Amino acid sequence: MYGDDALKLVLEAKRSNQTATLAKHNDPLVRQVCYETRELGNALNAVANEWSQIQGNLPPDPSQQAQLQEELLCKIMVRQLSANRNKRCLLAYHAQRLDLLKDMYWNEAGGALAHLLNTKMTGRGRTKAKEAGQGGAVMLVAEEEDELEGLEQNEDRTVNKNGGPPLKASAANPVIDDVRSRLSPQETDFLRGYNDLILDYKSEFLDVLDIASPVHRPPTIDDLYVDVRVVRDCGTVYTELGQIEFRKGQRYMVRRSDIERLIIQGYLEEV
Amino acid sequence: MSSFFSDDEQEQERPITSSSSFFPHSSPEPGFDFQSNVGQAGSSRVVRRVVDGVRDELFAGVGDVPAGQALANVGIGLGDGGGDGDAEEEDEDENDVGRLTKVWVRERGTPEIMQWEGELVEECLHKMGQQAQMLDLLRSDPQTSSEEHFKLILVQTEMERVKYLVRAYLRCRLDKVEKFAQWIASSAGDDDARMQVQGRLSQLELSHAEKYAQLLHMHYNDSVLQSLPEKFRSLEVDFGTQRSMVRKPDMAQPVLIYCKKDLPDLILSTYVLPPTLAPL
Repeated sequence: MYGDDALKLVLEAKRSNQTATLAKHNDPLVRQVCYETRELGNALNAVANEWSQIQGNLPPDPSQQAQLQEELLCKIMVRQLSANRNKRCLLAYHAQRLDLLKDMYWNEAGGALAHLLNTKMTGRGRTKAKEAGQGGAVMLVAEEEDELEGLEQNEDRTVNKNGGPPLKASAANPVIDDVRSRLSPQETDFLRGYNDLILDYKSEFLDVLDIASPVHRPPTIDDLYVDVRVVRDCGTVYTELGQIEFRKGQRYMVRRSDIERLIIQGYLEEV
Repeated sequence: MSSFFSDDEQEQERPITSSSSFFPHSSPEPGFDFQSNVGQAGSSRVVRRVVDGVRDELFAGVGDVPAGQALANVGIGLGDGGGDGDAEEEDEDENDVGRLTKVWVRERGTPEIMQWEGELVEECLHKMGQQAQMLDLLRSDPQTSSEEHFKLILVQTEMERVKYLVRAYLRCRLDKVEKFAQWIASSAGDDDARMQVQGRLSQLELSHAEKYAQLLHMHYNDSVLQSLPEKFRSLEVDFGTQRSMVRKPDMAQPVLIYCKKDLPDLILSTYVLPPTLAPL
């Protein structure tokens, strides 16, 4: 039946929306629906041809004439509506995914794209990196340190790692994958482009404030300084009050605004 | 998209109005040029005088109040925000932070994009930049007493709160701009409402909307539209429902209003009481 596959996509989007879980991009189904729509388009063209052919030699009887025209109009109508519905469903599916991704980009990754792409997921939802298997956690440290350097360079390395050593990690924890593997290539491109846009926008205000910091509640006097423990080495960080070298296991009293992002990204832990 | 609206209830319970009293007092007077004052300070005596001047400036509001009282003021702000906060809102010459709070609340409560308050934001950012410099100067000054260090912390907290306001305001607008980007950037038809919205955006937001719409268009094109038959590639009008697939502000959405002064009875064209509130 026309539109059944499209409905599946919409249901998937709805489920994802209700559970706030990013599902893997359903490429086969999307292709299937696109294919169906193309077929509908071809059928439409065929009917349109038929219509123009008939106009020349209509049967003389007016009631027959009306019946024939009605038949063709019905065919056109049903196909047109089905094709449009398919398109709408496809777009809704992709729009919902983009909304969710942007939500994750702002609220969970604090505007850090590399961090978002490497957030570990289980079959049911997102997990913190440290909850991943031992092997997975170790891998993460190596990967994300690279990620800080810059996104483009480590692109290749992550791929390499997925090819070689991580086999151990994935064998120990088969359900775990990262956000990147749940995206379609177009979505990864979109996020890159979006990240660039936001960086542009952000840079206008960066000398005074970072608009990507969390906005879930107004700060209180307790938020000025935080006591943090370093969970993973993150090198030297330059703050307003000088530079600090964070080494694993140490504790610091630092200004929250300076290291907010490192807490979100899991390098530091509030005590 | 609800990405910037996921704030929890806490925020509603903690308005930031009344504790903002430190900030405006501590802003420099119009004629005070911090940069050049410090720049000219050649000898150590002049530096001393400048530092003392800065101290007076920064503590102008804080200093008059005993520390305990100051803390109590902050406490009111964190807690209920009621009390004298309400009276202040009536005030015509309200301070920048009060105005920013209002602007932010209005932006959050309306379906469409409101007028960009560029001057206000600029002003706040400028003052914050100056205060940050003053703070640095006083913090590194050996003559700053421990009581003053405590006051510095209050000032810092206040600055963080103002930063939060500006950030929340910008993010809220950014969310709306992205939500309606395709509509704002589209050139089809000469829609009055759209022209009006374009006029309300800052230059930065307008260019962001255009670039974002382009990005979105590319994404939809690459993942869906290019694999459809050619005549189904437009987003404008859906043949079946006659509805456009481009998101527009929903002007029929209910909004909360605050009556500033008494009005004669008004008859609203589309006012329907929800069944639970309808008079018996």
